Amino acid sequence: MKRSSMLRFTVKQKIQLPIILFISVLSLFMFIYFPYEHNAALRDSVGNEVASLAQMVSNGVTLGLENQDWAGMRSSIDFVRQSKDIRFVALVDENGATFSADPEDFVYDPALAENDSLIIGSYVVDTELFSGEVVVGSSTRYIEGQVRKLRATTFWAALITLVLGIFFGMAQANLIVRPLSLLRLAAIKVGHGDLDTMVERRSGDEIGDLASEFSRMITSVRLAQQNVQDANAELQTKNRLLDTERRQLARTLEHLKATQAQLVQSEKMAALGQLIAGIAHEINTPLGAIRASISNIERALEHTLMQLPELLSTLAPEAQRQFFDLVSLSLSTRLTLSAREERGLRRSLLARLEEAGFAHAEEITDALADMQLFEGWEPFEDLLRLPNVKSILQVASRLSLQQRNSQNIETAVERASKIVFALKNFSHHDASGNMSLSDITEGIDTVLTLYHNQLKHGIEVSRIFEPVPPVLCFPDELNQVWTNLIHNAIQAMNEQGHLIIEVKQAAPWIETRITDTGRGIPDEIRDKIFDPFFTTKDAGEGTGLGLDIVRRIVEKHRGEISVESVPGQTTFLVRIPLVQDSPPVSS
Amino acid sequence: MKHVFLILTICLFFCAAALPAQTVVIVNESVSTKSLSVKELLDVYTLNKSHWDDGSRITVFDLKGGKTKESFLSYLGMTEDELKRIWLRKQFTGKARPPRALTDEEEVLEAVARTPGAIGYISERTYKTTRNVRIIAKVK
Repeated sequence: MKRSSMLRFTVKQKIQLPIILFISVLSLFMFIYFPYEHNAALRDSVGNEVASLAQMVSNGVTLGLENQDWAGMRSSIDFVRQSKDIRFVALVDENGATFSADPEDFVYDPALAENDSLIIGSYVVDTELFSGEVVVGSSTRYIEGQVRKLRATTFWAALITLVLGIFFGMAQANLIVRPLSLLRLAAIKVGHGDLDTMVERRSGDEIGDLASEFSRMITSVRLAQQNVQDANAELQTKNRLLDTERRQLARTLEHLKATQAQLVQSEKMAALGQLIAGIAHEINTPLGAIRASISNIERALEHTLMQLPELLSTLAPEAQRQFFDLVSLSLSTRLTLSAREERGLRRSLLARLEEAGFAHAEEITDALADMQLFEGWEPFEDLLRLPNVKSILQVASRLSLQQRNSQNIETAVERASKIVFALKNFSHHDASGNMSLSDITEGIDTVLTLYHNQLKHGIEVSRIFEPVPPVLCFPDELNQVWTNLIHNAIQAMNEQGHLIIEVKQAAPWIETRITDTGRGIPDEIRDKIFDPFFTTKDAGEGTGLGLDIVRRIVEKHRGEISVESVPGQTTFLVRIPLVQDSPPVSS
Repeated sequence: MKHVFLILTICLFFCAAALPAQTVVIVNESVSTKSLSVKELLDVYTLNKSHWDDGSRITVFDLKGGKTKESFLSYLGMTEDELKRIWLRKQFTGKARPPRALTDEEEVLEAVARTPGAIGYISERTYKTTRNVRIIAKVK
């Protein structure tokens, strides 16, 4: 809307110009039209007048010719001649030639009949004696005079109209524009923010209405501005409040984060505690075995030391040899039997001894069973048939017992050192914070070792490990993953069931599946199990951080974890990349 | 008296009709001119001559018709229409005084007698020597 600058009119001009233009046109019209019209009307009336004069003369001529009333004719002509501005009266014959005229020497020329300064009127004369017409000519001087007068009058009238029109146009424009200017000034002031501006109503027309509306509008704006300011102030107050709250929230969040870290730590500690409890139990078992074995050995040794010399003195050299053979056979025998197998072997031994007619078959059977000699007793028949066989076998079994207990101690020590080794593996921590190459299956085995105590009673463990290459990882953190998953599995199965652990390579991953035959995870909570603080356990029992920690560790390795669960079969799938091509995700 | 005058007039009319009478041209006694030729008479009646020789104005009287007029016109050698046209032309310009046409010769006689510088024509029978009229010409 770019207006030409050249044609930019103010409102005042827009009002003034048409008025002035209109009045000018009107004046000009008055000045031109009225005289013109007057002229035409005058010519018309003079024409009529002249024509009627001609008729009068024509009548006079007819009368003169027919009645010889020449005086009448003459007086009509005289009347015409005396009329104002009459220039001539002529009698023209049929051929257009002037028959006679007054003034006498005038010759009428039809070709010049009518011009601007002459008005001609004519009337037919038709008598026996003369046929033609009477022509009367009048000058237009009178008309011109009249028109000139009128022109002067209209000129002054037009001039006065013009002057008055311009004056009134300007006055009217001022009248209209002044309130508008005031409004404009007020609007500018309001535009600059002065809302105390008031516009006085000066007229009852639309501009007056506009002024009233403007005042009302300013009042509204002032009110609205006040409202806005109030609202602003309120907003600022609320903002400050919000800011304070936000800061409080930020502090709370920090606090929560610290608390969460503490919780994570305590979850780790709890897991460790459980582990340690298990391990303590695990170590306590071999220790108990060692203590019992040592006590057995002590008692057997004491017994043997007292009875052996006495026994040897009663035995023949052959019997002595058989005795030591029996003892050494016993020592060299290592059987691992279940209680039922042992009962079966014992029964068949007893039956054969009774069949062979041994006097103390039952005592012999007990003693041989103690020595784990369920077979191969035949070479020692002579010895067994000796009357003091009971004391012989007692001494022999005690010797064997010492040996067996020593073996038990050895086994227990082996077991304990295995646990200690696993513990050492488990807690292995690379302080450098860098990843190290590690075999995932070793980590799983370590965890299984530590959980042996909890697994051995009712849980069958299947290890399906394919050979996998060592991968770059944080071994101790992965151990935490296996610990948590296996711990959960044991709890899910209520310590009764089948734990299947599969490890295989599926490029670009090493996939580890830990499957339990527990109660499964309901669909509605499956999406939430990896959320922190989500737990199905009673309050205070679990922190809800176990699987969250697992997820975080797996993500730190750029791995994936997922779960599939139906009642009776829940599988956690952990994928660890075969190759770590970039630094670990910091958690 | 009126009736008597009317009867007398009718009698005179019949007499004149009955008898072929001479036409005379009469003038008012004030006219100094003694005689008029045909040419001069024609000039007067064609309104070319508007004043007598002594400068007094000529007043022309005419008859509207009748034997007297016919004989007068034939004396002048003109028809009535010719004369009328001439009069029309002259009268129109306003230069000449209009001739007065009367019906009765007696009226002409009286008018001529009454008007100084007047001229008219009547039958000889109508003419009386009395009053201020004299004959200036006789139509042959």
